[in-house]
Amino acid sequence: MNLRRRSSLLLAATLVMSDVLLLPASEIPLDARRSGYDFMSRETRAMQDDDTSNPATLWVLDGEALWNAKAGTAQKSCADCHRDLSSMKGVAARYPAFDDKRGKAVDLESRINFCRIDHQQAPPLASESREMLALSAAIARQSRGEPIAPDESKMAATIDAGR
Amino acid sequence: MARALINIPPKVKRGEVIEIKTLISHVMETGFRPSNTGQLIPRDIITNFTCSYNGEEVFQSTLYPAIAANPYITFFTVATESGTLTFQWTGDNGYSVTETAQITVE
Repeated sequence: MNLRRRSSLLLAATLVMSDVLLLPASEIPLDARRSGYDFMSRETRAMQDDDTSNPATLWVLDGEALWNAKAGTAQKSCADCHRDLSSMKGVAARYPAFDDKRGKAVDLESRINFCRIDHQQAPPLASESREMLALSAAIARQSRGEPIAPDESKMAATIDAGR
Repeated sequence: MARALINIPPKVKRGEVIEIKTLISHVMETGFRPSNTGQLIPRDIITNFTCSYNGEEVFQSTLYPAIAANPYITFFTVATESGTLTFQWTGDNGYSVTETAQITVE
């Protein structure tokens, strides 16, 4: 490669870089969005695809136990109201959702805590705590493979605030 | 909540080499990390893992603080006869978990 060509390439690279830097943050078009799964190595994918190797299964199992465990002063378990965990099929895929009672958009974790406060009369679980991750993982697992499709009709204000 | 996941092929041919995969839930606290108060968090790790096939030890491993949380251990053995595989993890603070799995050799 001669020197002139190299310098022109370098210039082109600099231009591209400055273009990227000048571009305002914009949304990725819907059809161009890819799952994090697409970026994984072959080995990591194999591990994720196999439930007995995927460490997330440990949280799902913990969550299944928590689902059936009585909690709070009401001494109620999730299963006492919602019955079997499989009744949560498709639910996680609809979150975040608009909560009419509270008048705001809530995520799945907040919904779990509202249930704890309102129905189990138990203290809310800390964000990212092992119990919260376990319960949300177990619930989300019931919607495995379903496209995430929240009902955005009432959440326009929230979505705009996030842009 | 100690949980272990074991994956073995349920039915295999005699003499076949089989892969055994194990995953156990454990924090594997190294003993080198300071807490919010600056004190070292005491070491809490699994120190030993063994697998016995009908009472005979076929795999043994010593674990050290550098091993990640939720250790994932896989190994191979030869399917000799139907029976029970016993897995045992032992570690700090009297930690001991035993799991068994059945295997059918045809």
